[in-house]
Amino acid sequence: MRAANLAVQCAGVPMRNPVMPASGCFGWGREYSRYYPLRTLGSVVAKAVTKEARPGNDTPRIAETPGGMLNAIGLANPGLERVLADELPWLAGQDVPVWVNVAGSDEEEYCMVAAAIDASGMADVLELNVSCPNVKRGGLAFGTEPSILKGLVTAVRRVTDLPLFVKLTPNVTDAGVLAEAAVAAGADGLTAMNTLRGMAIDLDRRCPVLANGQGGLSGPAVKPVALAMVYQLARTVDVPIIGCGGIQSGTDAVEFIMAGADAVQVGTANFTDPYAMPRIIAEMQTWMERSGAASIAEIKGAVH
Amino acid sequence: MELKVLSKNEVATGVWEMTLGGDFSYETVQPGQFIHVQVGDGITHVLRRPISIADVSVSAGNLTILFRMAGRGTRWLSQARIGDNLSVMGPLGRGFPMTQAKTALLVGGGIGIPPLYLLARRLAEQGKAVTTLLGWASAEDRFWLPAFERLGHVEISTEDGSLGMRGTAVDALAVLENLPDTIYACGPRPMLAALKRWALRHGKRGWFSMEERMACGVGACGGCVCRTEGGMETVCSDGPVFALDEVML
Repeated sequence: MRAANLAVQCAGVPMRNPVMPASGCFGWGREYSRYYPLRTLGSVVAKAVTKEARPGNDTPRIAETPGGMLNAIGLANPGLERVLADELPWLAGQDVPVWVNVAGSDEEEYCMVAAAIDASGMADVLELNVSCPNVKRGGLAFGTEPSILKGLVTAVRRVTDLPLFVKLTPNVTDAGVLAEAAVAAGADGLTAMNTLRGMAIDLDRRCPVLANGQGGLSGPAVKPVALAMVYQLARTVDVPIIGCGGIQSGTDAVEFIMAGADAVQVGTANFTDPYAMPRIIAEMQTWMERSGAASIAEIKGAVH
Repeated sequence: MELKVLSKNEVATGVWEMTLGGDFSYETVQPGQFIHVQVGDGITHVLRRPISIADVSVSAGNLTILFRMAGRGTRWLSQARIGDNLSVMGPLGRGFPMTQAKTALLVGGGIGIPPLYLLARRLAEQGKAVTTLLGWASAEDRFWLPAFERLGHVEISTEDGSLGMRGTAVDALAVLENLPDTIYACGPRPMLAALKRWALRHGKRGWFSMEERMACGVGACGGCVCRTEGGMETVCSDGPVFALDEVML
């Protein structure tokens, strides 16, 4: 058995392993630091940040569905100023690369937030959220129209030199077109995917379970959709891809790497098991050593 | 961590009492805190179920939960066998603060009643006079009534009038002879809203335990929020217990 090295580089950022949380599923990192040191992970991805504080949607915001869950949080966050003052300084001291997810209602807000986070020196990577299905303005609107996405990425690219990832939505006819638009505008990488739009109905109350009506579906139920999207994007663009959707185990993560991902994000599984990510990292290590894979590069894109 | 099912008992139709033992921080449990229990293999059901701790024995090293079988997740839990291990997170959340006051009024409705038992026991152990108002839909839904009666005065109400007075637990406020110093409550939102109006009218302070659909259980996902005077707060980690004058119902 050979020792496997899980270390990867994503857009020039060295990571001890290819596992990081999905934005919004890990708070600001502090919440899970009582379970394990955050430097166990490849990176930490913070919640979406907007210029002003957002209270988010009414409750219920959560509904379990077979093999998954719906959420409609609505980009709740304390706003740029408080994130810079209260959350990122702690996270930046945890000896792990910090990704910050950036959201907004218009191009100006995205640029303002991205520039401020870059200037703070507390982030290693910016991830643009153009795929949140749960807000009325912005969010998904930027991620479904190639020309609008191209404009947004071009504008943000001008205000930051940090590695810039764009988190794409599966709620489109052809994600490849959006991926090409993002890369042409200067994106350094892509995250695939955000949640699928979904709904659950409460029969007794004769209304949707979620106060927002619809929400985003995540969990093991969406894994095949995410895998297919990563596979497609790997054939379409030549930038790092972060696979995200329903990953619960080390072998799930390996599937995404084989489909063409450079690294993976874990979301819902953190709720099922607070130790999900350290376990996934250990399981990847075990799988690679048993199958004689010495590095992530050796198995990346293996199915193509 | 894993806790073993030591005993289980259906105490009313669809309401299960389960005692769990194993390595757990029993000595730190505050009344009102909860455990977050995995149901099934974690694939069919991706979300844990938050269940409040009804009682704890530090010396015996076990805790007791009471839960209502409301869906597929809690049905799975009700089918756990004695000796089975359950994956449990906890104790989680901020519980009921203990009062300096001499008299306490506890108000519980339906499946909101369980966390009040450990609270009543701790208050009684401190020599406080505990009055408890308990409400159920019907007489056959009642559970743990004798246990509460051993700790203080109890008034019962049922919606169909089959036991005690007809109405909800707050309707029993009318029969109180003396006003309490502090109020503690857990139950349906309309019950809590009515109790809050009553408390504010009488200038009483107190604490409500809130319920909400929950995902992470540790304040990370922002799924289970409730509106308070201070803004949106998470039920799982800022709560589930909030001051009655701050929580917006």
